[in-house]
Order: sequence, then C-alpha cells, then structure tokens
Amino acid sequence: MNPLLEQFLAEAREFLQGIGEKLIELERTPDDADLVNELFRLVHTLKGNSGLFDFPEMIRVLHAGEDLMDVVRNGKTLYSQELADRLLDAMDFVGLLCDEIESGGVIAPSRATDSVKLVESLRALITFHPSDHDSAPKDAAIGASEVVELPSAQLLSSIPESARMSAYVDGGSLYWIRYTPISECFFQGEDPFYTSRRVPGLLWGRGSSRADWPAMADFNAYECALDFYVLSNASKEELLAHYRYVPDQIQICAIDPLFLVIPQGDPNGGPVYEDFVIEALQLLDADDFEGLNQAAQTMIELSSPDLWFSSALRWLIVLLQSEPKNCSAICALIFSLRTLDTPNWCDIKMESTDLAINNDASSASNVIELVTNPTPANIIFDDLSEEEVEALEDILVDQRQILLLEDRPNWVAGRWTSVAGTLVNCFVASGNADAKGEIEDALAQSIATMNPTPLLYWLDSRLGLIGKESSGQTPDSALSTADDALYAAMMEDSGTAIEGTIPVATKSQDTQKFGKRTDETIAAPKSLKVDQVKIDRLMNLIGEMVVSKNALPYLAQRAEDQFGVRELSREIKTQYAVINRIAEEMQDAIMQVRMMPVSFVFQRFPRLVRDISRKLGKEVNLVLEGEDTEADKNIIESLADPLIHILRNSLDHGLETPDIRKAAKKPTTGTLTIRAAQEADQVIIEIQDDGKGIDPVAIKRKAYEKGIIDEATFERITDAQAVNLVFTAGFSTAETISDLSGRGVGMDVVRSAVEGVNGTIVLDSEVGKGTRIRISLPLSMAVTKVMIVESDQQIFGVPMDHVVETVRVPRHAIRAIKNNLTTLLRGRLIPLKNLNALLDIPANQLSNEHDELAVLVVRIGSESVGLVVDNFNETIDVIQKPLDGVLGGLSAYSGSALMGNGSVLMVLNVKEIV
Amino acid sequence: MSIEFKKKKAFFKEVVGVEEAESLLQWISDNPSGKIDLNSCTHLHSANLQVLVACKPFISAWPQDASLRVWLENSLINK
Repeated sequence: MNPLLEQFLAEAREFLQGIGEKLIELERTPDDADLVNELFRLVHTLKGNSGLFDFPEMIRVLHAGEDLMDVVRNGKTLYSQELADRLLDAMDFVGLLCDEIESGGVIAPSRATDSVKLVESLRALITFHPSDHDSAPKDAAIGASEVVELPSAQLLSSIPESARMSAYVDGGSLYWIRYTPISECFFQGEDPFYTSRRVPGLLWGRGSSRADWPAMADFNAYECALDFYVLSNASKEELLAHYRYVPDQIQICAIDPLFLVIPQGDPNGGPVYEDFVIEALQLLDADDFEGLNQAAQTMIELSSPDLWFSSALRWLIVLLQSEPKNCSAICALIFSLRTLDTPNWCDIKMESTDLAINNDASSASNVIELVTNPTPANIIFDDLSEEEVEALEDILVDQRQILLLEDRPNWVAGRWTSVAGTLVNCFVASGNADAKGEIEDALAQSIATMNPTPLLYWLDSRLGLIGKESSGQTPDSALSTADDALYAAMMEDSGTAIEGTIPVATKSQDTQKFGKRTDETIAAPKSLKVDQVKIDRLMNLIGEMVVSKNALPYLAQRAEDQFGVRELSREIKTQYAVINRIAEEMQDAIMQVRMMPVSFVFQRFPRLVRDISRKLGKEVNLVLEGEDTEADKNIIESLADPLIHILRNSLDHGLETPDIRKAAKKPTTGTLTIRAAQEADQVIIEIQDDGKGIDPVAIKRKAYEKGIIDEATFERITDAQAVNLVFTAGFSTAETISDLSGRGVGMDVVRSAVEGVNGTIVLDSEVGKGTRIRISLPLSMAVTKVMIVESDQQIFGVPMDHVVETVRVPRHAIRAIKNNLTTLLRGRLIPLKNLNALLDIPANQLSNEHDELAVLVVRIGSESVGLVVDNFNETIDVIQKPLDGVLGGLSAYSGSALMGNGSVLMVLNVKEIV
Repeated sequence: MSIEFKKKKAFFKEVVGVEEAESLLQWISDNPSGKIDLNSCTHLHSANLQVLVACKPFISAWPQDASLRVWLENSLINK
C-alpha cells in the first residue's frame, strides 16, 4: 500500500469519526448553523480526498452525502433523525470500504449496488422535500432505475435462434443486462461499446438506438444515444464488478433459460398442425420421449426450416433433450403449435414450481395467492356492468383454482366437465358464444390426456394471463431487482414480496450490514501520528538503559571492595545519581507519550448508545465523566471491547422501557453514567445505570441450575457475591437470545479482558435502583513493580499487585490440616504453600536464626495464600519481557526481566502456580 | 489507426477512436452512397458505432475480428 493511501485511510477514519460526532451533536441542536457548516466541510473534504484514488463506490456515496449536506446547509431540507440515520449509514459504509481497502487493497464488487442504494436513499431526502423547487440537484433521479424490467419477448427474440439455443443448452444463470450510458459519457472518456464487448460470460450483445434518430443535420455524434443489451452467463458478482463505474446506468436482470424458448418464423397460413399436436400429446402422455423426438425430427425434415412450426419443433427437440422432466414446458410448447403464439413461460414456470412445492405437501395457499394475484382485468366484456364483470371474474378465478387442484380422483373428468360447463355458461351469458367450441375442444384434450393444462391454458388466455409478453409490467416482478431467482423468491414468500418493495424499504438490511461498524475495534488514535512501533522501540531502549544504569552501583561497590578506591566509588555514585535522574525522567516522558485519554474509547459511546437505545425503544441519557483521564494506550485499547459489552448489557437488561419506568415511578429517560477517574496508580472506570438492577436470588438460582455453583455455595453465598456470578463463564439470565446480548458469553469475556491487563472488575447492584460496575486498571503495563524473593539460592520476582504483606512466621505456629499447611494470621486462617514444592525444587524452605519462616502473603482473586520462601529482598521496577520460544509454554512464569548486575529475574505467575 | 476516407469508401483501420466520429458523420452526410469497409477494424468507439447505427451506410466488408463482427451485425442488421 502506498503511503498516500495509508494516510488517506487514517485521515478518512478521523473524518468519519468527526462526522459521526457532529451528526449526533446536531441531533441535540438541529438549528446550529455552524455545526451544519462544519459537517458539510468534513463530508466535502473527505469526498475531495477520496477522489485521489480509484474508489468509485466511495466517491459516489460521499458525493451524495455532500449534496445532501449542501441542501441542509442552505436550509432547503430540514435536519431530521431520518437524515442522520441515513448519513450515518453512508459513513459506516465508507468506513467499511476503508477497512476493505486496508485489508485487501480492493473493494468487493457487490459494494457497487450497496453504494447505489445508499446514494438513492440519500438523494431521496433531497428531492422529497416540498420546498425544494429550484434547480438544486436535478440529477437526483440518477440511479432511480432500480426497477428492472424483464426483457420483453420481442427483445429476446431479436437474439438469433442459434445463440439462444446454445445459451439455453448451456444452462446456468443467465443475466440480461441493459446498459444505458448517460448522454455525456463520451466526454468522460468512456466507451460503452468497449465496456459492453468486455462483459464477462458474453453470449450475445448489441447496441441499439434509444429513440428515433434525428435528422442527420441535427445529429450529434458525441451525444450518446445508444443502449447496449447483453446476454451473459457470468455470475452477478462478476457483472457488477465489470460495471462498477456505472452501476446507476445498468439494469441486470436474471432470466430463466426458458424465456429464450421463442419459436420464430413464417406462420405459413396459420395453425394447421392439429394432427401433430394430438399425436405429440399422446406420446408425451405415454412418456415416450424418444417417439416424440422422432416425430418432431420427421416433421422438421418435411417442413421448410424457415417456418414458425419448424422453429418450434427445433425447440421442442432441445427441450426434450435438456429437460425431459419439464412436462408442462413441453406441453405448452406443443400447444403453442395451435395458436402459433409463443408460450407464456412466466406462467409455465410458476406452475411447475407450484407442482414442486405441492408435492412436498406444503400449503396450498401459495398456489391460490399466485393464481389470484394477476387480476383478471383483461377480459373484455363490453356490455356488462362493473359489478357483473367483477362477479364473472370471481367465478373464472374460482374455476381456475379448481383446475389447479392437485388430487386426481377417478371422477376428475367429471370435475373438468363441470368446470367447462361453467365456463361455457359464463362466456355465452356474457356474449362470447364463440368460446363454447374452444372450451369443448380444450375439455376433450384435457380428458384425453388426463391433464387439465389445455383447459387451464385456454382459461388463462382469456383471463389475460397469457399473451402478455411477460409479467415484466406487473408490480411484483419488479422485485427481481433485489432477487435473482424471481420465481423462487415469489414462491417462497409470495406473501411478503407482493407488498411492493421499494429500495428504501430494504434499508433495514443495510442498517444491519453497515451498523456493525460501531462495534468494531477502534482505528488508529487521533493524537498519535507516530508509528507505534517507534514508540515501542523507544520504550525498549529506555528499558535497557534503566538496566545498564542499575549496573553502576555494583561497579561502585566493586571499586570500593575489590580495589579499595573509595574516591572512585563515590564519583561513580554521583554520576549514577545524575544518570538515574535523567533516565527516570526519560522513562516518564516516554510513558507520557504512550498515555492517552479514555475519551478515545468513550467517544464512540454516544453513537452506540443512541443506536442501541433506538433499536430497543428505550430512552437513555448518556453521561460521560472524566474523559480526560489518561492511561497507557494498550490499556485503553483493551478496554474498548469490555466496555461495549457492559454498555450493551446495561441497555438491554438493565434499563427498562419508558412504560415500565413510568410504572416504577422513575423518570422515563434512563441514565447511564460512565465515569473515569485516577486513583493512585490505578484508573477507575465506573459504569452505572439506574435500571432494574440484578436480582441476586434469580442469579443464584440460575447459577445453581446451570451447575456453576453447588448446593452448599448456594446456601452460603452473599447477595454481593451472587451478583458477581454474572462474570462466570457460560452465564446468561436472558430468557431469549437477542442480537445484543443473552448468549452467555458476555461478562466472562469482559472479566478475562480486564484481568488480561491486570485489572479487576466488581459489580454491585440493587434491585430496582440500578447496577454499578467498577473496573480498576493499572496506569501502565510497561513497568512492573516486583518483589524479589529467594528460594533455594535462586531469586524470583513476584508482582507487587499480588503481594499483600510479608511476615515471619515461627515454625511452631504452622499447623498441618490433613496435608495442607496453614497458619493463623491476625485471626485469619491462611493456607501456606512452599515455593520449592510448587516449583518442584527438591529442597526444604530455610528458616532464619530464630527458626522463623519467611511467608509472602499474596492475594489471588479474593483469597489470600501464604507463599513460604527462604528470604525477602528489595522491590524493584522492572521491564517485564514475555517469554517466547520454548520458554513460552511455561505457565509458571509470566515473564523475565534483566537485573542491574546482568542476571535474569524470572517473574512468577502467582495465579498459575498456586 | 483511424479511418481512411476515399472517394467512395471509408476504410476503418484497427482501433477507431472517438475523435473520428465527427468526420465520419461528415463524410457520410457528404457521400450518402459511400460504403464502409470494416475489414481490418478491431474496435470502434461507441460514438462511431452510433453514427453507423444512425446513418445505416452500406457495409461493404465486415470485420475479420469475429467478436466485433457479431456485435456489429447484431447492432446494424438485426433491426
């Protein structure tokens, strides 16, 4: 990645953060003109910067955002929550793109459609405002071409038969693409023809005029008026990637290969092939595909190849070869020989899918819905009143349903006859007497083939379901925009799909897609422009310096003891004092560089709280305190995830909905306070809510049910201890799992994250009043204070965090309870462990001249344990290095440190060894 | 390369760029019966294609380039 891009990404994140903050601020003071200006400036700059790179998706979205902000700035559209939501979505999307660029260097092709959707939702806000008369963004309509029409049969039939046949036989997913370049595209250096020629999986394509051409004198060669149509069998992703620069100018539509089956040619005096049709139907009925094939071949040889009939037969053979199972398609094709009309594949497709579904004995309601769905408004009954037409339509639709019934009782012929009778009556009564003959023919066929299709086909043609080119104009098929498998989707959720989805309505999906942004780990910090590696290096260097500086006192000692030069020894000590002071200051300064305010983590919370509380329908007032409290960068960063977990828990489980709060006589708006403060060398962070609190009894019972505590503990445990059980692994009280929390992996992860940086976490809660979680963390991880202890002539470090006290215990005061040594210390029973035994050193602990043993009392969690050692030494600051290589597997040590005299100090991992 | 305009014929050579469209249009309107030879053409810019689609001049030779030929035949003949 080049440095320019790197810098852009870092800056983009800052801008996005800034935009997010401003938007939320604006939510509080929507009339603040300065804020709006500032916001516009940010979006504008970000867009400008992104223009340096080849990320059309990003630029497109930012451009729309900029336009929108411009309109808001000029007071033409008012700021609204809706607007903030969409802008935030857009910015999340840009952030997502940044992540993708950073990780892979490229943007996934599918993002192009996402970007178009976002642009549309943003532009919609610009145009929808009534006061927006003037010229402002006239190009707002760009990208509104979401409603993809199925290509009309006429267009498809312009593809030569051979091309269609090979496409059909190849099968796979077929896409019909209509590319409508904007008229100025030639001036933007585009060559749509070239783009079209390069389409992946190209099967067929052509350029065609958009409208009639003007007279040659008026004709402008540089104003693009060509549309390009392409049939491709590439995947949708590939196609989107190919057209990623012009997603708003293309329509991609999945088409079923069956739609390509369009016989063409000379009708030669009309349908005269009744003999063949009957023969073919009989063969089909007898499942004699081979015979049918041969019959068709023979007919082809007998007929002129230019005839419509021959073309249909060629298709028939292709169908027989490629999908002999698809009887309804074959049947429809045979029937079409009667009328010389292309079968309506839309219908056939639906029916065959119907059959498939009903075979699984699933609901029949699907069928009915689909069947009744196309309103039979096309029947022409001139001299009937509106009411009568309606009644008639109802009857016809009912008959259709009867024909669609799946069962085949032995009296089915009777059923069909009665349907036919009803139809005849209807049509004769409505003045279409000529229909009688047709119906009777169809009935005869149906009974002969034991298949209702002929009757159904006739009825459909009357109902207006057949003969329409394709259902491209019906609203439900417009859905194919979003969905490739048009029919599959319609079958699956015909109920919901028919409601007429508009692009904006898909917003919820988008929100979910980009909304995750707030949960992700944070990007590079604001103030630290230096690469962190460099700071770490400085840190290491100063560590080494501290160590080598510590060698000087030893040197002074030697000068005095070994060589007897006291003068020199004193001088070395003076120099040491100076170097020591400088080194300590330097270390302090470097630590300061690594320090950063907790606001780095806190700044994301307003957005997070806003999003979650809106999702949950709760009213929450977030109060942040002590944002400028500082701690080491690593600690602050490790804090982000635990805090988000806690926050979500508070919002989801802690705070109640406004109704419940009102009933409990609390203010409807809940308060969530996050407080940071420094206490000695610890940073304390408190998260407090005034929600319903945690019921210790419920927690105890739950923990007992889940086997986390046993019966004895259940009886003994205090309420305060009980509520802290939520930190145990696998604990969840939520009855249902939501996308926010309740999976029982939250709080124990929080605890381990906090403990990972040597912090502690405590929870206290009062039912009905609220919950408070207190996290304390060390200021810095870089320098560890350790106490040096001696055992079997070796020295070990014990982190001072764990050390409670050091005592000398007379040997006679040590009692053995079973195999465990214990002693009584100020009225408390302390278990004792020999360090030698823990480390498997074959030696006894040594006592001093008064027969007293050195006991180091350490705290592990809430328990105190006495470590018996040989002797105590001083405490020192060390820079602890983690063990790596083969030593990395030793859990008994948390790391090593270099001492002033050059020896290595192993720092014990007290928790592990005890 | 570009278009070579002769008296009765315009020869398209290799890749014909966008800037040729104007002169092509001019030539066709000056020579309504002029013929187009695409034999050695490998690609022509959309603007030129548009002129050909709009003015429907007589194509005396189709491109050797098979994919271009199919595209042009689809676009120019298959109305």
